[in-house]
Amino acid sequence: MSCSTEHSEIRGVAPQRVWITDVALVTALGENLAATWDGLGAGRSAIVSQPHLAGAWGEANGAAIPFLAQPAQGSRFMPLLERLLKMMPQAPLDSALVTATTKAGVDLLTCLSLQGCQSWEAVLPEALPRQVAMRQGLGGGINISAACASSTIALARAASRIASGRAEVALVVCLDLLTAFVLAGFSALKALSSDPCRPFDLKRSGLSLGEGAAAMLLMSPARARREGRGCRGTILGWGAASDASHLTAPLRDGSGLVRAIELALQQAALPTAAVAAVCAHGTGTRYNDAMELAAFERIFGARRLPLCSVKGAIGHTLGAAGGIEAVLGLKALWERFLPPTCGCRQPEGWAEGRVTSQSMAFDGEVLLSTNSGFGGINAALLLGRGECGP
Amino acid sequence: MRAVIMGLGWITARGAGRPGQSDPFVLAGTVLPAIDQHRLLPRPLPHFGRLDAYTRLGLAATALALRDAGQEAGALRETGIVCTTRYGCLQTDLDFMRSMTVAGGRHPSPALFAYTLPSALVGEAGILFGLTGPAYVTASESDLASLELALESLSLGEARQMLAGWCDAGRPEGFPPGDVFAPGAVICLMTPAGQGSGYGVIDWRSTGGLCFDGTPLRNLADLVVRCIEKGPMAGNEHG
Repeated sequence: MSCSTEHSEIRGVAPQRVWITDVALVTALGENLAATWDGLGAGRSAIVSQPHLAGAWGEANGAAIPFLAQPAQGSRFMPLLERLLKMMPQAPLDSALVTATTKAGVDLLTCLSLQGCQSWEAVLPEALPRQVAMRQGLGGGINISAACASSTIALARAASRIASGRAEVALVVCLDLLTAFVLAGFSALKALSSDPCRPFDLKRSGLSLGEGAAAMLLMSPARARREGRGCRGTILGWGAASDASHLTAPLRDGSGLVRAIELALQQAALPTAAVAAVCAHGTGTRYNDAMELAAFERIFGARRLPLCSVKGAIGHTLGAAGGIEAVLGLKALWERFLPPTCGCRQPEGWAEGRVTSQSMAFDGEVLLSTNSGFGGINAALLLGRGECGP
Repeated sequence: MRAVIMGLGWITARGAGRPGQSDPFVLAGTVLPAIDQHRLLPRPLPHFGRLDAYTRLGLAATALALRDAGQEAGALRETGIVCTTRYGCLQTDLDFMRSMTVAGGRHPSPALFAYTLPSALVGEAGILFGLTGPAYVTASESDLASLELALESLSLGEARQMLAGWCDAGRPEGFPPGDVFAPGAVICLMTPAGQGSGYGVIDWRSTGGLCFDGTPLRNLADLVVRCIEKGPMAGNEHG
């Protein structure tokens, strides 16, 4: 296991493995996991022009959920959350609740800024745990905001709650919307691609935004067995580390992401060689993808393991990205192949032979999922193959 | 897992301080003081004037906590930070929305957009203090949530030290009426017990929640008051 000397003295506690017993997913590519997975496998992309979200600042393309109606009043946040929760079983009432959203119902701000609106609380990140708790009869919860690493850190926090023995069950819900607000913002930063994004491609030119939601029910193995729930996958380890370098640009040598991955491996007590495949962040920006490839090369060296990004198909779903990608990662582990990296036609550098626009089969039981975000926040999750498919 | 509070700092409408170095801690009032970065931060930030009130507040309280712990100088490798907030960057969100409407909407502000995430605070703190551990912001009904999360991280070896606390510049002006609370920030530095004496020991209660030196903690203000009662950290009397 390659650990830098910087972490040689941190003694991770080999955690109790955390089971994932139930999952649900809604993306622009499909109303559930099966539909999204089929779309990914077929190489489809949901990134299209979104003229209703464009502004004088420019045109907009993105992956909006086509079957999600715009309510006459209020945010699209609630219809998306309700659709997601309908696909999940009732969580046990002693479930810890951890959610991840960066902007919650920010589409409401137009209403607040210009016209006045009574349902303003949906704008606050606390709205997500509050609404989930209310609908599931839970006592309360917390929301994690860590930019594009929010979901991965939410999963890590939920898993650590179980691993430390402070909870037996945890419900994780991740959600973010495609809105004029975020499109205008990323356009102002000149981070958007005018065409659907091309993760890890030599000619990539920026990201494409999307929206979606994911939910996962985590349990200790003992609790899952008592409740007769199957293991759809496991969380084996997690890690988070910061670049401490720049607010909007990643550290080019990838050292923050390297630390996060090393921490995850250390916590899982697994060698690097145990990782069979990688679901990367892969936004399609020049700097993020270059940073990730630099980090992966430091971790995996010359090994040619399959690697993918789903953002060319479903867009960058911001705070929900890690949760959505974790669910897809579990599916990939079960099916034993990674979906195509839509948009990648000519992989750059280290991605060559590892990232393709075709599905890639792999052997092995462990998948690494990574996300990185503004603030130089990096997070990594190690997922294990379950006893039954997600 | 037990952790020690090694340093503590706060900013409220009644002033800035750390135990033994200020007027009594009072979480009251609605108008926060101007943050003097030359007095409070370890080094001036060229872009400090462009930071929103929430970020300035959090950075200043973090600086005070680290100064209180005698750890201001140098990079804090493998130290993480977690902060609880309610309104977070909402004022900046509104400011960015307005920038989407000026000049015909052609020039939304990239400078503002970069701060339309509550986690921009911990990102800036990471850059200023060299924090390479985990960093995120949480929304929770309890202002002790960040300390619980920090304790969890320390117990699992995810970081050597954790900064944890609360930061909120309050409800934006002109926002629809809602609950009113005193804005401010309280940040503490936690290390695993056994690595220093500090103000006292934080631990989990068997019935849930946290205790400090064996007595249940009600909220963050309770922690501050009890640390103040302990007196300044050794070596900080003339800080």
